[in-house]
Amino acid sequence: MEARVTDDGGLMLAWAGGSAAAFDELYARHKGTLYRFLLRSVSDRATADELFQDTWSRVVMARDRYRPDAKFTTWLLQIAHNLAVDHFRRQRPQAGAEETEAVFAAQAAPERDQPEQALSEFEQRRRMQRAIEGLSDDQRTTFVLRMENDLSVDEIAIVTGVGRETAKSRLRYAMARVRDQLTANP
Amino acid sequence: MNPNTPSPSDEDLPDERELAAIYGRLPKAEPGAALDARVREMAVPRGNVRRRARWPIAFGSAAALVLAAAVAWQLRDAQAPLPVADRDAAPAEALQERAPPPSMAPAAPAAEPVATPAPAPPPPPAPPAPVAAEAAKPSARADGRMAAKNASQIMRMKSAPSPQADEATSGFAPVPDLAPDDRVGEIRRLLGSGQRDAALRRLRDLRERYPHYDLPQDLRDLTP
Repeated sequence: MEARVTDDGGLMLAWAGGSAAAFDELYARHKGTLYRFLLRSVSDRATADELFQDTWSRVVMARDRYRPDAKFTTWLLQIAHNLAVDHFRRQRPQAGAEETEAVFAAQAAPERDQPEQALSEFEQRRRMQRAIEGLSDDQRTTFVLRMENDLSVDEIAIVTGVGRETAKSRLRYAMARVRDQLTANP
Repeated sequence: MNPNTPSPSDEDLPDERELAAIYGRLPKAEPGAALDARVREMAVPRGNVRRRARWPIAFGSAAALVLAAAVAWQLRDAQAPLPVADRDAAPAEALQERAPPPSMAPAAPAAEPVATPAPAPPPPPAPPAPVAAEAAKPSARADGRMAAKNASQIMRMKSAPSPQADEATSGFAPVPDLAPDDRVGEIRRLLGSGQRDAALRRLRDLRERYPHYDLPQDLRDLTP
């Protein structure tokens, strides 16, 4: 089937039916956002490459079972997120989700001024990069899913496997910490 | 931005738009060309190739099975022993008797075009039948019936009394290969046993066959 299909689910079904062009289209749509999500989650290009390939490998294996019930983006990022979590667990011992939430909940999110407009654009990007890297794994994942992939809080909750309130809380604290980094004095 | 991804449905969080603007200026990292190639290679739909390759194999196997069954059926027909009546007959006679009359050939079912023209002996009862064997059954059965009919005809011809046999059993059988002297002896034997009419027929036959034969006096004087 070489007909133009604009829906991700339709492309998946066409690809499972033997259309290589459908996969090319699907891959072109999602490779950038997926790769950046992984790269900013693990902060290591080699690891991001490995997880990126593993993610698509899982997609390939599951293509015959795919049913377009769920949004393709959510399904794809869920696979990538699970692989990233496995990577984090192998790298270092992690605090439990509840413990992490308790730590960040105890930190009051201070009211801040708007990000310093006087900072140069380059400095802003550098600080943003460092702020993201300084987040906990859960908050970083949540923040990147919001910024890079434009996911709603509900979608972030699905991808990360937590409740909506937990996802929203993580997002709020992540944004507050990033804003702190951007406005902090050098 | 992905065209399939709608904007977040929930309200923006504080300072989100400003943060998103700065985030959007971060380098747009992409997977390298080698990584792209590895992923695309993984995604080649090999399943279709396998599916295409399986059909000819399955079809070929089925065709080979059918062909083997048909050949086995034909070989079995060809190697089956001749019926007892045919074995007792002289070889030339048996061949002549087994060959179907030309008028009977079109009457055989046309379902098996490769059937040999020579009729086969009757098949054994209902073997487990492959498809080709089933298709060949009507022809084989017809051939078997024909052979059985021919064999019974042979048996009838062997056992049925012929006119010559009737005559031999009654003492009047002609002996065409006898020499004239032997015929004279035969005629005298018939006269001695009181069969005068038979003796006269033999004498007449002798005179017709051997008109220049010098008959003995006793037979020359014999008149009807």
